[in-house]
Amino acid sequence: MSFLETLYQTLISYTGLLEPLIFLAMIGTAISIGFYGSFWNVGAEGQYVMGMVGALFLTLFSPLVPLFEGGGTVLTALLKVLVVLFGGLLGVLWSLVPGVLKAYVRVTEVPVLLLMNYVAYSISDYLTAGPWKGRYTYGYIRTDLIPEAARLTIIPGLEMLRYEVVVALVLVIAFAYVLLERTEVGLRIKFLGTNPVALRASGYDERVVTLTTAALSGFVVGVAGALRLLGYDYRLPYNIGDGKTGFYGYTAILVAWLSFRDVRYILPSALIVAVLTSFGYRMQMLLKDLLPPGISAYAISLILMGVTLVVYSIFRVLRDYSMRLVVKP
Amino acid sequence: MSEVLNWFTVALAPAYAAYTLAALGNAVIERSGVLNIAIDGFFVLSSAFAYTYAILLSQVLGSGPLATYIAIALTALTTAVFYSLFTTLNTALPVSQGAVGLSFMFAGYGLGAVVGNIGRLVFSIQRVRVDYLGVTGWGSAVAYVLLVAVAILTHLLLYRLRLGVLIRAVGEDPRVVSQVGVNVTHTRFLAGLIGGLAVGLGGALFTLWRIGGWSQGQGLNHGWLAYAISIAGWRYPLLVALVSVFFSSLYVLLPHIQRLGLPIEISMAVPYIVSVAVMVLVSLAPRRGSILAEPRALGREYFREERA
Repeated sequence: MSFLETLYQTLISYTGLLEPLIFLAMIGTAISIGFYGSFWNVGAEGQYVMGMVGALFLTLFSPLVPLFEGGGTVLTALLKVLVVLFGGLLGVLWSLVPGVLKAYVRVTEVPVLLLMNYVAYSISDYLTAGPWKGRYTYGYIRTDLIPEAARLTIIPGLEMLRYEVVVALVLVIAFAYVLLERTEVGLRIKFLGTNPVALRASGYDERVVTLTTAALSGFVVGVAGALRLLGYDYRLPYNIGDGKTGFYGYTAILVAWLSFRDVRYILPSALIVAVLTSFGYRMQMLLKDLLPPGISAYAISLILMGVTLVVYSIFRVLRDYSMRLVVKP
Repeated sequence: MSEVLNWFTVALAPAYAAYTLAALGNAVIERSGVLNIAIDGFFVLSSAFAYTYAILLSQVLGSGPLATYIAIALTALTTAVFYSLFTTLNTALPVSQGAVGLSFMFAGYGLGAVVGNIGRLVFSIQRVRVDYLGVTGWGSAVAYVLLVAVAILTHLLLYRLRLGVLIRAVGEDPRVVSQVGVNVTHTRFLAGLIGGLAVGLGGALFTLWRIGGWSQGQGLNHGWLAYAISIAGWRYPLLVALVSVFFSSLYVLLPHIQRLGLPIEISMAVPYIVSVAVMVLVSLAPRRGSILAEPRALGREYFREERA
């Protein structure tokens, strides 16, 4: 297969693209909200895992499912909404720790967010191998499957899509757009990102706005994690940090960046990133005899991320400034 | 007694060397007002470069300590070049330091994977033997002395030399300093160069002394551990070298903590929790106006012209 054929195959296999596209778009939106308020949410990976943990806890270890089970469409829908919101809350919990530390203790949020990703992996792995270890797992270390009633509905003909996930994506993007373009809270978040001095001067508490930004960003990521568990994974695997999240929490940073922090461009940039990553994996399979074993899609997408961010920064400078070359005599 | 000696010379020395050097480099860079959130990427990158250089050099020079030492020096130089680019862009571009830092961090992770794998490819084809630093005993004692010397030199640089005074001044208020005629970009370029040398040495020793090999993702998060040490020492070189004894010991010991009854999954996360706790505690300590205070311009964008 040639290079072009691979690219073509990547593009037409839309079902394979849809699933990363949706999750990248959702998490990318969340990270964008953070970027607006100068909250560099590189901790989406951890918030995503915590969303999954929350969803699993509520569906397997709380009396919620038996309570709602068999209660008709409305009650099951309510059940799913509750579980997803709970996942969102755990995401908030995870993003508020660095948020509070940034706002009140002046600790840079980036290292805290990144380190907390690993703490989230650890918590998930501990629960999976310990208290939540499943009984029906054929010897694997993992949790049991969540009950049928809580699982999301597959769209017939589009096996990688779920009705609820599509609805959630639309809601998330609409929410972010309205928040940032139409509400005062959104305006304050943008002010915090562009001119914190003016925000303080106009009488707002910078710290509260930082907390709001962190919480909103973490909430959306947590929601995505819960949806992931309810719609696709149905259980927590062991060694979740070993690529079992698809590293969406990291790749979505690229989505947020490519969208030039404009919520309207989230979907196109999520599509670009989804194509790039699946193209990367296909190329890797195609070229496995030519490339050194470790030049992986992972490495390629990380380099892409770094380069895109640098190019983006330079473009922003070129857009904001007019430059003249002055040759001194 | 011999067990204590053994602990200091065999187990602790490599970790102490790697973390302390990276933490000292971070102190220089952050004292110049550049938020060093790219440190983890640079640590990964330099630990990959060290491995590949060592393999390529042992092709040319044959295996032996010479190739290893040259590899360490080359890694430090390479990292210094990348770091000076980082601090320069951070100052010259009127974009947020968070954006530039994140981009270098991710580029460092990715480039590190590529660079290290090139080394591994050569290794598996040519079957060269690489000499890792097996320094113990008296060699470790010399290493400790050298490290203390580096810490004292960094201290002298920052607090006695004209360049160091400029670096710290630029970290406090770049605009005022530039009005006196100091080139801010140039000063931060030099800070990146010097700090980068130290971070590169740390990454190189991490691969060639502490681990003795390379695998993809090596060094990931260890840059943050060094960052936490640097902050725990208030970015003050002598204190950094001192508190690093404690933290390096902690990082070496913690993975074995499951003997104390913690589940293995949780004990894996303990170094990270400790690092976060350290950053919080240090930030809580009041130190305004003292020599230990955080540089005031740290993480702030530097605009040469006022924005409309």
